[in-house]
Amino acid sequence: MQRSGTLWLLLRNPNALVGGLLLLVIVAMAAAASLLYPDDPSDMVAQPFMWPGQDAAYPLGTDNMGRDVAAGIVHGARISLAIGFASTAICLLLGIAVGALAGYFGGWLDDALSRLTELFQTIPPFLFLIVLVAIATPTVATITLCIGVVSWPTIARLVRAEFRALRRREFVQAAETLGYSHARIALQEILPNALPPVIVTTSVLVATAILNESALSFLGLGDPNVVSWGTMIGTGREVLRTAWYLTAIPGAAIVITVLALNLVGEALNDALNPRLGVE
Amino acid sequence: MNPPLLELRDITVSFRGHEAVRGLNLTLHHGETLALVGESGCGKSTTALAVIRLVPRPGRITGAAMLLDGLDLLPLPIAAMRRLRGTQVAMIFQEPMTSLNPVMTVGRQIVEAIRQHRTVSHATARTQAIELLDLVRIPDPARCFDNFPQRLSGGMRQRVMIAIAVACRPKLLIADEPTTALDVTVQAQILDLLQSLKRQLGMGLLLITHDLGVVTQWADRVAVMYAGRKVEEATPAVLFEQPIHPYTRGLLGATLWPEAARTYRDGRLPEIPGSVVSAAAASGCVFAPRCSLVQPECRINEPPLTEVGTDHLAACPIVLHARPHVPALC
Repeated sequence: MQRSGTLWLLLRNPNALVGGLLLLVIVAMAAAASLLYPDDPSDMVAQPFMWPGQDAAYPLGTDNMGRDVAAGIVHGARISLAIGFASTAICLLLGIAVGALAGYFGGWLDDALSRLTELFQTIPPFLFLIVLVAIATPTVATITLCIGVVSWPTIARLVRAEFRALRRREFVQAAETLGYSHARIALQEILPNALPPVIVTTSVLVATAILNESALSFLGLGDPNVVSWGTMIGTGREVLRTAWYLTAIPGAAIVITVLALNLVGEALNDALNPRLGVE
Repeated sequence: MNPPLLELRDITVSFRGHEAVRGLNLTLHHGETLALVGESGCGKSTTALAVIRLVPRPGRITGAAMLLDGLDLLPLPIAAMRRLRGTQVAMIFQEPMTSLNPVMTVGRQIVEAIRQHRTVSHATARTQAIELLDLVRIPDPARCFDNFPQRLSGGMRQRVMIAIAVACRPKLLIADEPTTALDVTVQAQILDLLQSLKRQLGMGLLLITHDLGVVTQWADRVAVMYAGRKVEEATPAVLFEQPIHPYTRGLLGATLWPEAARTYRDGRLPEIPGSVVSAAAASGCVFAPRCSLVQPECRINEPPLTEVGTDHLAACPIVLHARPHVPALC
């Protein structure tokens, strides 16, 4: 009943509709990448520096080494989305675990975990990410893990605040008087009530993760074996004045994806945030 | 004779040096309703939470014993205590609006409560849940089962809370101001329901309230608490006829009794000057700072609880000694 209400609110919201459709297109593109372009996108397939529209076989042109830009965009969507969602999953796992423990139990555990969270927050996340990736070998897996590790404090603080507030609510106290265990109260009674703000933040986190991955690749710290949007921008940077489309096209792909995620996030906020009074 | 259902012996609940409940003795027999009365901050709710050992941190419960049907709860490990919650002792709260989980259907919350302590199939639990909703006199229980709490009125929610509380047939039900947040008409219905459930299921009821009208009608015995101490205990009839302790007298004096033709038209109600907080650190009688009959010796020694009649305990030697001269109430 409540769920269909949320869905209805989302469907009525033009932001959600546009954002959701864009996201759907990008996901479909990523899913169909090996059907559309079965070959490795880093293969040199044609003469370099072909502008978009110059040859119908390469609609988005070729880069300075003769690689198909369209194939790169489609395959890059895979990497970007995979890293975006997987690192956000890691971030949620860490953030919810830390935040829930701190907010639920309070006391010295809360103090210890809050200090740990603050410690992570004092370091600028992107610099921290560069350091982590530089230490680890940059592969898709390590990059994903590192992005998750640098971005969990936001979620942890959010979840902790929600848990602290909900912990004192009477229905939680009532659950205690029924003999429910801590794990059950935390997971079944409190967590579902704490989720709406977390869901909203998640969409923004996915967008941030995609940006972070692109930034890393742009700096040459990405996984050298895969083509991502960031790598493509990095390659194009050297020829920015003569072949600007090489930076603009993958840049636009990032802009559209991040925009779609933000639109969805904003719509979710409208639908799930009780303080805005959308009832 | 059977041991009493609940017996507190010299129970103290302290929060970092401050004692919310001090040396409390309380007995509740099987099938009995014991009312705890007193103003806010007297330790009524703390007593209730102490019985199920859920006093918020940093509170600590100490004392001689806390016997539930002969079993001492004080030394019990937390896992064993958790098994008793819901099956032996259950509790309902003041705010039915916030006591139910807003993201779960009413039915699921009852089913969960049943399955927490009993290994029954989901279908059986569902049938039992609908029976429980029927037991608490909810019209069309099958429809109510799939509703979210926010679709129900306050009275309905309190009924659901009661259904959850009695789901595993506890021997003792603690009701912490169960009707304070409800309309007067709904109040009476809920208290009637509690009364009949008590008889049907053979429970003892620990009723916490500050409403003396509720006490007269529904309690078998009343314990008046002030600043964590029990200052008087009697049956409602005795308490209202011959209140001894000045605090009890003050409480009764500050209540409207339409039956006795005492209404708001008769001028301002008398009040008890001061507040419970002002008594926190006093030595001697805890009520001394607010008492109109206070004597110098009241501030030195804490007066003991003494038997002043059949089943009537009070802790005020001053009134006892001067009983004939004390002006009658009302």
